[in-house]
Amino acid sequence: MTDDPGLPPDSPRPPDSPGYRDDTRRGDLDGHTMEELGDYLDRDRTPRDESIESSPACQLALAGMARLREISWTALTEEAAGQSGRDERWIGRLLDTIKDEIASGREIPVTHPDAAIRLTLSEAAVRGLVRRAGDTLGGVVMGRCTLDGDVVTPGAPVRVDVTASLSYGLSAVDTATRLRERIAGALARHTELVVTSIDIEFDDVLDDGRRS
Amino acid sequence: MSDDGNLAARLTDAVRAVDGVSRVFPVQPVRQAAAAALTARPPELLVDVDRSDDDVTVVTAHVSVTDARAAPETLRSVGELLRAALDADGLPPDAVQVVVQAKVVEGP
Repeated sequence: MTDDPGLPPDSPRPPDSPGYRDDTRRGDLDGHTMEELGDYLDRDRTPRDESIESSPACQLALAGMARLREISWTALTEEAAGQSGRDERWIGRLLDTIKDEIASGREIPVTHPDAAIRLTLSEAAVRGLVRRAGDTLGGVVMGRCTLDGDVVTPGAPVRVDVTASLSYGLSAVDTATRLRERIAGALARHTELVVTSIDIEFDDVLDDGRRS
Repeated sequence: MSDDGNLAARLTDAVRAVDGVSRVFPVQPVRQAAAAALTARPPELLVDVDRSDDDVTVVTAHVSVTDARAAPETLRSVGELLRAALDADGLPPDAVQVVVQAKVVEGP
């Protein structure tokens, strides 16, 4: 099944049931823009903006942007590098991906024996978890993350598809193995998803923090 | 503040204190913003108490959890805490639905 965060949640709970809320709008930053969030990061999140700090979507976007800035600081600041135009396009694409992935998406269940207690993680939270697992590995910058499968049904098989940029000189095979282990570990710790495979595609090469 | 407002404020404080919870997000951000506009120190009604259904009271919490504790454990703790608080408040056990969602898993 192809994930499309623009669609209503593929949830067993119908929209007219108690507690249902449709917060799946694609790239909805609760009234803010990525540019505003970038400025907010530039100001070290001061003065505190409660509308940003109380928004899960903004928190996910800020976390992704902050890591991207750490990883690609050189690319963001070296205008004379000759590659700056390409770097800006690359960063722009990554920011678009982060924005697309912060929509809450489907509700991923966590089991509980009491039927009156319904526990879930948002699909955006899980994608953010996968993104952080990759971005903090070293040597890769995460691109797109897709949870492919019936994530709302406990026990159903799920495939994880990710794209990433790989630092020049690193072994793609070894890095993919380390990345796969890291993502699997994070998902096993924080979700009850039955992950059958983690498919990794390196679609770009980085050189000292910049695209080569 | 209404009885449900007091209940929501108490539940918000209780959820915030659960090990592994780093933040409680407003389930009804518009209502929270309106409360903030009306008073300098608005009550934090982040947990939602919904009695619009005649048969069941739905209590919803949206949280951010930390990486230090497994998210399922944290969610179960929050759900059981809310369930116990509603039982203690005298709500019939079969007329309660507790909904807890992790919106963010924060890094170390």
